Amino acid sequence: MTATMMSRLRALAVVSAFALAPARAAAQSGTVSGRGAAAVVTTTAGAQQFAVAALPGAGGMADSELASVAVPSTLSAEGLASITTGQLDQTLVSATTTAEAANVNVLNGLITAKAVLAVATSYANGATATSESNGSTLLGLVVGSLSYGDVSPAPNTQVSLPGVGYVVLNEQIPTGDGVHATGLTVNMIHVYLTDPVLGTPTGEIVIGAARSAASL
Amino acid sequence: MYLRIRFPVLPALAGAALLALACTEPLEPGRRALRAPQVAAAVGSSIALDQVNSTMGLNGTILLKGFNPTNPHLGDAIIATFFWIVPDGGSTITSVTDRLADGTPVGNAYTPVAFVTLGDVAMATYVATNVQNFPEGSFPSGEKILVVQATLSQSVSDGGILISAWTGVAGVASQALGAHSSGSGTGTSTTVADPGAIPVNAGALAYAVTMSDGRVGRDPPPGFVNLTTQSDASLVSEGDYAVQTSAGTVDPQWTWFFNSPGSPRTWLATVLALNPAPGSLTVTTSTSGSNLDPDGYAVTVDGTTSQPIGINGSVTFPGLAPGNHNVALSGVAANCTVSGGSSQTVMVPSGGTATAAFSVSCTATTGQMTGGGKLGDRRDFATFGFEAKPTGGEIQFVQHCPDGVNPASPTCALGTFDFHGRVTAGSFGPVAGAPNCRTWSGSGTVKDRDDPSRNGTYTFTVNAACDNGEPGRGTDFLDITIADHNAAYLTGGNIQRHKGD
Repeated sequence: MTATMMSRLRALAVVSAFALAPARAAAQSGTVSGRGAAAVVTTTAGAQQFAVAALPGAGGMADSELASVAVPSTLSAEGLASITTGQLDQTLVSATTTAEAANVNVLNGLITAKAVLAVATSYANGATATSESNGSTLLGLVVGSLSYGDVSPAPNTQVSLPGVGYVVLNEQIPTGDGVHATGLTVNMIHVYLTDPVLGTPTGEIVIGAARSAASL
Repeated sequence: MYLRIRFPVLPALAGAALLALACTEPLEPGRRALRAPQVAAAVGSSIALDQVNSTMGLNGTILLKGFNPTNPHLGDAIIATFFWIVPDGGSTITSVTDRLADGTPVGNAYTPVAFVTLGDVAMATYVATNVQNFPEGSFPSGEKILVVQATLSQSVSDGGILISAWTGVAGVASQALGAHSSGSGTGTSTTVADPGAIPVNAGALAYAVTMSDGRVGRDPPPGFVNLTTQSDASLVSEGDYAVQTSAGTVDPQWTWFFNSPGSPRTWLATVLALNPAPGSLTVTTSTSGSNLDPDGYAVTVDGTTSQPIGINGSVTFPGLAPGNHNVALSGVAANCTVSGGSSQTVMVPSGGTATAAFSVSCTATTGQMTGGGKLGDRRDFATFGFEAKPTGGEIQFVQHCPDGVNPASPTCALGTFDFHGRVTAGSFGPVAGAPNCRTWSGSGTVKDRDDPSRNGTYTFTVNAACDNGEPGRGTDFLDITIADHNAAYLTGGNIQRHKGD
């Protein structure tokens, strides 16, 4: 199994743990779902999610805010927030989720960012179904000793973190057939922790995780 | 007939005799008969002639006349025009006062408006507004009639006076007095006497007076009503008036039929305007139906003066010139209609109050709008999400200012803050002229990360949230005012309006 395949499998694992099953509104033929988490920390000690918002199956809005978070030696951040909205209509189903955090510090300064924002938007109108991540951004990003500034990295940009594992920037995992169903998960900073000796997964840190899905 | 008046004491009986002085108009063959003095009120106008009296053949240093036998009404405006033969060395009016015929001082203030002289004749016009301090009614015995008198600096051999009282004139002199103009000239044959044109307001009185030392007839100015015509052995005068139905200009011109080859006759003429008493306009609104306009309306008069008004409210616009005024109601929500239209033309009476009533009916607004995403594409950006419908909803708005407070920034003047608000039930409605947009308002809590002193409860208004299609980025639009104002097309996300609403 290649490193790329490993990465995708791990990403799917995060997505599967993160996503809600699309809910079907009684009076509509479509489905809509959305979920945002400003941060997720998964280690051998367990999993923690911060500022999590999940869209009701009938659509509407959900949001969650957290002034700050501190997981010792792992993550600190401020202004964590997630907002997810969506609507089921007879001719259109759409959902948008934003997940964000500010003054992010991962692994004692190994990765820092002034602001992290993930945006996932999905549309389905019965003939086409599309998703996009427009608006997603990283401000003041520094990985290791390399400063990226204000960037919207290409989807699934992987950067090695020697002795720690690696990080995928602007990780995007699409779902759906593109006709009647679509979905997109955006993880703006996704750190995969590995055992430095064995190379086996030991945990994950996600900053800015947004998912949207729509079908009609 | 000449009567010498001695100052300062005028015995009541002498005054009465003076006030009963008759006036005649000389007629000349071939000239049309001059109209006798008449009292007329302008139809459809708020300024009306109340009383008029005149006399000629006076001499001495006092020119006076009483409103015999009926005094004006309290609050009237009095116009007094004095005519006299200028003696060698000249003679001017030093004061104009009023009193009762029995000598009781009255004390109204007479403002000099026009003075014109040429050759050996002179004419001066004074105005007193809102006259007070005298008894109303008729006094056949004369002792309580109101007397207006001018004191001259030098005795004159011949003089006269024309006094008229007017109802409906503005009570404050500075508001009442309009434009005025005077002219003079001489002629030996048919001559036009023209004081000049003046502007007049709608509903204003144009008072015109002419005199001459030529005892001949004249044609009155077209469009004017004769007030009085009088003469004695050496002077002739005529007063006329017109009340204007609309603003414009007046230029009264008399045609004097002088017939004195080799011996020019002099004419003097004055025209002045008195403005009517201002009126007021009361505007009322009554609103019925569902989803009533949450923020009320605005009323604008003549496109210039506006006041806010509640949905079932009343406002008054004072100090309006009498006449027609346009009244417009604005700020009506798109789900509401104004019965009979949103503007009316209302006649404001002089000294009175007109009313304009607007009846508004609103229909229930239905539907729903959801949206979320991002505004801004640089370091300063905002994220948002909302669900709004007629029964309420909520909104989350996060303004990001990574570089902190920036007073010069339209979006970061308050720095980074989170806002969570509740939509006020009934505030959700359409935006006039923008079928894809909705508006709503409410209140919520701000948590300011850069300046906690700003934390607290704030009202908010989504001025417009517009679903212009998919994808929402670059297409959908959000205009929101919380503590500051942010309006932009989405750079990410989407706004969805429930179709069919």
